[in-house]
This record gives sequence, C-alpha cells and structure tokens, in this order.
Amino acid sequence: MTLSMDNPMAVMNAFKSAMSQVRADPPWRDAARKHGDRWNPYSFEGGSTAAIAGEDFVVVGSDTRMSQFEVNVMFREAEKIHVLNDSIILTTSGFYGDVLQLKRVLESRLHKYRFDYRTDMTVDLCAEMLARNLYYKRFFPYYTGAILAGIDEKGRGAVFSYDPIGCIERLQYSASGAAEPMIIPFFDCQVGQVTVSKETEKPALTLERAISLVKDAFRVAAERETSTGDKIHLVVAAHGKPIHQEFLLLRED
Amino acid sequence: MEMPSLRMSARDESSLRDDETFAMNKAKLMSEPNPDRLFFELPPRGIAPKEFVNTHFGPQSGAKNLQFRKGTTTLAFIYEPKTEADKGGIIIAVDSRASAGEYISSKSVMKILDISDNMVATMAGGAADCQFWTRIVAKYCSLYELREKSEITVSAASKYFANVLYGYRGMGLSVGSMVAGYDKRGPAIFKVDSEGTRVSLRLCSVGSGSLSAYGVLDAFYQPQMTDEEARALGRRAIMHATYRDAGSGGVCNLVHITPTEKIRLPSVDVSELLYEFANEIGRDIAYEPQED
Repeated sequence: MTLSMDNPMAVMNAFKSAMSQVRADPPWRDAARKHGDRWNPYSFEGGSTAAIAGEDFVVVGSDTRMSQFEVNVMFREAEKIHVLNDSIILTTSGFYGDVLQLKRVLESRLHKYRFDYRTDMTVDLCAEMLARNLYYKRFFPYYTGAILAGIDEKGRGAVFSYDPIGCIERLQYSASGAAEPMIIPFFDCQVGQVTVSKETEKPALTLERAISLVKDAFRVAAERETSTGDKIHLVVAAHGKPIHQEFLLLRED
Repeated sequence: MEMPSLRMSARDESSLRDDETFAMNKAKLMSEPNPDRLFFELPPRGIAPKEFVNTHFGPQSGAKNLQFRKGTTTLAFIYEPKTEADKGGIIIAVDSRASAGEYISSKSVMKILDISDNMVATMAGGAADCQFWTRIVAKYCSLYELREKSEITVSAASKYFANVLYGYRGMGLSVGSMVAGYDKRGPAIFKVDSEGTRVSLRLCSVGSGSLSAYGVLDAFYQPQMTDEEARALGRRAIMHATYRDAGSGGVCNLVHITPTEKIRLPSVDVSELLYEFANEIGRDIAYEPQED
C-alpha cells in the first residue's frame, strides 16, 4: 500500500498500527533472544585455590592445571596466583580469560595508586577495591572465584574471599574453585578446629603448619577431583620478609 | 587574592565530550567511576542482564561453585522499656549463613551493615547486592549530614534506598533489607526490597527463615519488654528459624539500637542457643515418639 502525504491522518494511522505491531512482536527480538540464550562467553578451566592467614603470615596455594570441559587437560603450568605487590596476592579460579582480565585491572589500578600516592596500596584497600570492581560487572559478571591475601597495615595475615559479583568477607582461611567443597571442610577441621570442644587445647597455627596444611589440601584434592593437579603453586608472605614462591609436584593424572 | 581556577576552559570541555566514550572505557579500568553516574557494563547485543546472569550463574547453570551468595533470616522489632532501668529501642537479630546453591559458602557473614551512627541495614537476598547498595546509601547519608548539618531520618534514608533499587528494577537485583534506626522522630524500621517496596513496620522479618521467625515473634512479642527479654526474644526467633530452615544457620548476630547508642552484642552460636532452649523446656527440641 502506498501512502501519499495528501492524507496525513492515514499516514499517521498506518504509522501507529505499524508501531503497535512492532512493539507487540519485534522482529529482531526473537532472533536476538535465541542468539542471546546460546551466546556463552564463559568457559570453566577448573583448578582450585586456597589461602590461610596466620598471626603475621599468609600462605596461598593453587594448582596449575588448566582443563577444558572437565576432562581435557589443556595446559599444566597455568598460574592462578598473581603477586600484585610486596603485600598483596591475588588468587583466582574460574574462567581463565576473566582471571587474567581481573589481574590486569587490579594491576593497572595499583599502578595508578602508586603513581598518585607514592606508596603501595595496602591489602585492606585493595580488598574493597576488588569488591567494587567485581560489582561493577554485576550484569555481565566475571566468571571467577577470587581470593585476595596479604599482609595488612598492622602486619597481620589477611584473607578476603569473594563471590563472582563481589560479596566480600575477611576470613582466616578460604578456598575457591572446583575443589572448594573438599578443601574448606579440611580447613574447618584443621584450622578452624570446629570438630573439637571448646575446652580442648588446640595446636597453634604456625607458618610451618599452615604450609603443610595447604600442601595437604591440594594433595587430597588432586586425589579426588579431576580438574585439580599437576603442580602446587605455593606463595608465602610473612611480615617483614619478601614474598616466597615455590612449585611442588602433584599428581599428573 | 585570586585563586587559581579549577574550571576547565570551554574548549577543553568540548574536546572531552568528543572522547567521552573512549575516556569512559579507560576510566573503568583506571579509576573509580563517578559515583553519581555509576556505570555497569551490560552484556552485548541487547541480551537482558537478568536472563544472562541467571543462565550462567543460576541454579540450572553448570557453575556449581560460582553461584552468588545468598542471605537468609533477618528480623527487627521496636519495643518500649518496661522498667526505668531499661533503654528500649530496636532489636535487630540475624543469622550468619551464606549459601551458594546447596553449598554453605560462609558460616560467619555479618548481615547487619552500618549505615550511620544510629542506623543499620540488614542483608537478605543477594549478599553482594546488599553490601554494595548499602554502602551507596551510607555514603548518601554521610553527605546528607555534612550538607544539611543534621542527621538524616530513617525514613529519608530508606526512601533513597528504595528509589535506587527501583531504578534497577527488572535487572535482576535481589535485595530484601530492613533499614532500622533511631532518629529525631524516634525508632523506625523500614522494609525495603529490590522490587521497590518500602513499608514502615514495628515488627518485621525477611528471608527464607522469616516464617519461623514470625511464628516466635508473634507469639512472644510484647510492646513493652525489658532489654534482656527483648534480646532473648530476638535470639530465640533466630534460633527457631535456623532450626527449621536449611538456608539459615551459623551464629546469631544482634544489634540493639537505644535512643542514645548502637550496641553490637557478641555473636552466639545458634546450636548453643538450641541447647539452652532444650534445657529450658527439659527435653530435646525434636519430637520423638515415646513407646510405652
């Protein structure tokens, strides 16, 4: 049907009915919806990370396996722990692309802070900043379970745990990733001492004990969890000492 | 003496506007966004954020350990002092469990968040949503106080909160919060949620365990109570909620806001409260049929 401008009312009515038709059933919508439902920007590369804070130290561990579809081992040396400065360690499991992007964002923000204030950011500030940066992606989240560890202003060990959109909590110990449901109960038992009565004398959490607990946690996880294995990446930060890193062999099957 | 001008010249401003998109993207990485114009990145191609987040992080998604933390039982009530020795005010009691799907991702969450010196907000629903937006409200309240040189009312703070949440309606936020505090008008509790509801109540409970909590509160609440009775009632209601609701548990955190101060009471393990209750009634709380 052709419309001439001789009859403006007819043009207007045609326009209105076309608009209402489009509003009721937008031609682009179904295709976009269908495509949107299928569109998956994420993948999960497995692996686990854990951290324990002590009086004046923090021990962070992760495995270095990167797997695909929970079966195919793609890479055995993917580092999930990132030392951001002398007192801040970021350890993240989840989608490795987001892990790297999150690390880049934090690094650039720390760099800017250092430029602006001429001092390194403390872990408490970085923890809040990370929470906010995760939340800014509330509607298109990072597919990550982050843990931020470090030595705080008072020289104490600090561990901050997050959900993918930045719910923050300071804890004594935390874990994230595929083996989180295995590692946390182990820590609850060994560090949190939730299974013994209040009167029982509990062993003090020394640095040596914390290190061996983190190692044990990954060794047991590697026994029973398919996407955890290959190597333990162990990072130890103690008050007044440089950050120490090492790699230990783990089951490769 | 002439102060150096902090305003940019008109030419600078217009060239900034030209590069605004680029600057905005860069600013996202390099610095905090302007708080008045919070910028949330959305999924591309006009994909609805609510559906997108639910597809990839919801219960049906494969993300078993990456689900968002959720909060559960919270309650608050206003009471008047029974004797001269009591202070009266508001009791706010909460549990401390955060679950990500079926997994208890934390058993020590603090679900009573500070807004100002004599105001708190409770956290139910999405934990990150509550933490983030409560901060925004707290900032608004501090700025209000500095600007107006008087304390903000609970009513105004909760209305700001509700308006902010209403602005994000349909985006999938999940917040069920109670804003409670003492101001120049007296004690007040406002229940605010992510759909935009805002109601003033004297007795209120939010979360999956709220039904059990209401049961105890409605049975034992009195308009006039001693401070001890009121605190015990708050703890008891939380205890019963954690006993019957799998989504609630951990410790009971309690805040008492009196006309003059905000008292944070030490947290109590709910299983201790349970044993205390069992002792009081002289038998185990669970029903066990007797054979005779």
